[in-house]
Amino acid sequence: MSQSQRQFMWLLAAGVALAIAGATLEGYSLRLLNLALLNVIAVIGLNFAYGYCGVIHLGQAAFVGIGAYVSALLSVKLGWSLWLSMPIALVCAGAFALVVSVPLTRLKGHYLALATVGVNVILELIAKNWVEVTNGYNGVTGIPRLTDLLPTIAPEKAFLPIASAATLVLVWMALRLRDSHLGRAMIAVRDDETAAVSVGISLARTKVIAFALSGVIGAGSGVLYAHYTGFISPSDFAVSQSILFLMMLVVGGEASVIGAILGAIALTFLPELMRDLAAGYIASGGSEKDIIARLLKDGYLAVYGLITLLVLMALPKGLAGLIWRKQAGTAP
Amino acid sequence: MTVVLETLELTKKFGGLVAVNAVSLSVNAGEAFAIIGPNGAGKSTFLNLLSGLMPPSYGDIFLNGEAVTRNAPHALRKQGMARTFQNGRLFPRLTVLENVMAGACPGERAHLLEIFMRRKIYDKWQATIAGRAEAALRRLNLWGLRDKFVKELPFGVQRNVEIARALAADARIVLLDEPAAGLNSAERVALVKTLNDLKNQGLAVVLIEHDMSLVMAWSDRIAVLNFGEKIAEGAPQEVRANPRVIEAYLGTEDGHA
Repeated sequence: MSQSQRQFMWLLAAGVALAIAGATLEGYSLRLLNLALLNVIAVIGLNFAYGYCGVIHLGQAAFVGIGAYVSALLSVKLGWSLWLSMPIALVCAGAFALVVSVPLTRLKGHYLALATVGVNVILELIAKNWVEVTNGYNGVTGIPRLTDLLPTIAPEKAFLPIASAATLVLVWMALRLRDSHLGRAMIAVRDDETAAVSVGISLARTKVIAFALSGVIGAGSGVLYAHYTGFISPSDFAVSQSILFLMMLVVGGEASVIGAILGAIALTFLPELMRDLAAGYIASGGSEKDIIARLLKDGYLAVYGLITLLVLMALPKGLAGLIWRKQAGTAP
Repeated sequence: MTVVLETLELTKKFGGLVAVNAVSLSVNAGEAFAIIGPNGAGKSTFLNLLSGLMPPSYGDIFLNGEAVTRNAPHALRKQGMARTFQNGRLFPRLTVLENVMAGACPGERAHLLEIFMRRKIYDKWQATIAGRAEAALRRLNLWGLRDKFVKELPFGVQRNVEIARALAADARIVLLDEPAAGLNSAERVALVKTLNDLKNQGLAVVLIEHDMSLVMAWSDRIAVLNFGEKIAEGAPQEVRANPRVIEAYLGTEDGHA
């Protein structure tokens, strides 16, 4: 089987698994799955800048936010059709990413990381304080939903095929990009900048493309998020969310599309699992006030951090490394 | 004879230290040109100036008669200047084939959207690049290792992959920084064969090397650097007999280096 056939089989299997999940899951679990898929999209985007190209990016939530806000505001305030507002939001995010990437990608290491945090903070402040346009802390409500197209089906169920299709198409694109001249150039730049330029790869061009690609894909996640939930607020796109995206990528296995998928799904479900564990512990006779119940219930983020730490220590290639342990390189 | 590379008074200063001091030389097509000298003589710095990794403080570099003094390294590679590194710099997260493919299309581009929208045209271009990489790998007898990752390979093989990567796209001149360092004797024999092939194919080759028997046997011309200055240049026999070179680098028959 050729590589592309193998990839197609995997995508088909993932599609079938998602269809089964759609048929069996209900309510909140289904909502979580939808949100997990949107996180998968944002993290695959981040993988291009950070995983492949080594551009330490702590501002991915800003690009998710640009996608969400631009499309939401165009459709709510100007009454545009979401079929128009969604692509325009992607173009805006792409243009913004291109403009900021030129100065940003000249920076290295910690300076670059801090600058991306700066971009995120600035956009978050604009969303909070430009009240006339963004409604400030109150956020944007009444955003037309994609699921309104299928009013007879519960929105969670109706959105799953949309999120699944978007994710699977993106995974296909990401795998194809990984094996393209651009994918090789990005990985070469992260592995050894000096060697990369010496074999004819333009550092600036490669980094700018990787960063802009991350931004546009992140915005794609944001656009879908806005038109899924119908409500967005600045806190959805804070720096903490960017850090979470980066954690998802690192836990899943950086520089790997499969890793991005595993990390995003695992870290979306994990905190919810911790909450359920607390409820189970209390139901099985544990006191609501003892340390374990409190840790599971209120301190789930601490446990979640601990599990993340353990994964990082035990699996330097992330969750993807569990599957592709034997290979010397990285998972696809 | 066609001059491929020429430097005029090429100089690099780091603060008060003059690492390369007004070095002028020229290398012809099909010429085996070696640069020798003691450690710290400025050989690697000179190569970094030639390949655009460092800007010179003064002086000029001409490639195929064109001034390229401040060109970026990736632009220079496109113009035909290929190089390898002293400590072997492959891309560890790419396979051997991908490493060579990464070096097989300098300056060539495809639009991002073409990867998805015009798949047939794009895949054909990729096949061309893979074909170039295959030819380079076969030339160095590395085709069987194409799916290996760098860290699975012995050091000597890694050096050869690096040479294949440097030669995967058209080159007029190749700069090799100590390719024999760390090789075992079998690997060294293979390297000498590769070096001779390159010379016979009409490529200008600039070699930095400490292995004197290799340099003396292979080179058409040798330049000797000492404290950044060119102290001699000529055929191997002339250089070997030059008293300044003996004093600075080669040492006398009784073994003083």
